[in-house]
Amino acid sequence: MTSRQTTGEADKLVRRYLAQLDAALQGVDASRREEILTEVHGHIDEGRAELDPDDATSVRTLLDRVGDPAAIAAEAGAPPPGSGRWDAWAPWLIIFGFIASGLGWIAGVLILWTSPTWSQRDKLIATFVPLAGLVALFFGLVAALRAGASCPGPTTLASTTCTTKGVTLRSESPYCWS
Amino acid sequence: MHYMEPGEDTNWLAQVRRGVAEQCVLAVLTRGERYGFELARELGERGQIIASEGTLYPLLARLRRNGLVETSWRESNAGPPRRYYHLTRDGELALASFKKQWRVFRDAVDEILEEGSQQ
Repeated sequence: MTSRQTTGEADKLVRRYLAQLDAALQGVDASRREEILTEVHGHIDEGRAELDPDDATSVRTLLDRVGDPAAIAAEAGAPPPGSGRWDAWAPWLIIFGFIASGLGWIAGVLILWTSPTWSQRDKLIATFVPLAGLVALFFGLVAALRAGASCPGPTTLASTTCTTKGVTLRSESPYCWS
Repeated sequence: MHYMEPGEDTNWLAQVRRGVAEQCVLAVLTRGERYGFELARELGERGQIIASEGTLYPLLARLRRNGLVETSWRESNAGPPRRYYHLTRDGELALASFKKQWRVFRDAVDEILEEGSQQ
């Protein structure tokens, strides 16, 4: 495009930068992506025309001013890199994955922690709150079974009163069947 | 007291900038059409308005899509043709309403900050 026939360091820097920008703009619709790339390319050419166009150091400074390709992509509304395809599964797997033998939950947590879609805080909450709930449920069940086991003597279906750790359960419950 | 260095970014600034930078572009364009590089330099040199020169271009693409600016290609005496941006009628109206609201907003923030520092 330019009349200058230069190869070398400066050109390589520009080419690499534009390739990075192109990659960062993945997920932005094609026409907008093209527009942004063309404009940034034009900007860099304008900038180079003002300086010694083959001086790698000044080209580097120029590219610094143009800025991080990720920031440009973010402004263009590109999804953060690496997020995507599996994100929608994570919440469902975390909530219902326990039922699917626990493996589903593990998959959900893996997606959660490898995706940049959620913040560190969200990740911690999504991992430990359901886990804490499950642990609480487990201990609750164990306590209930213990209560059942501590029923005095042979019992009938008639009501029985069991006392465990100060909690009185007046029970017609199946815990006390034996 | 921590002072902002040029180029240093904070979350609130990024968020405020998101809305305000567009309006600043419109405001610059009231003084006449510009091509991207000119606009980027003009805004970049003031600091803080755009995060980096490159972030101007997605912003311009958005303004164009929303009909607030239009573009036309013009030959340049040095190098390839340039894409010039100019304000549309909708752009002028958007800027006028922004200006009004911005002043009220800015005054309210200043007032609250002042009250805070007097205690």
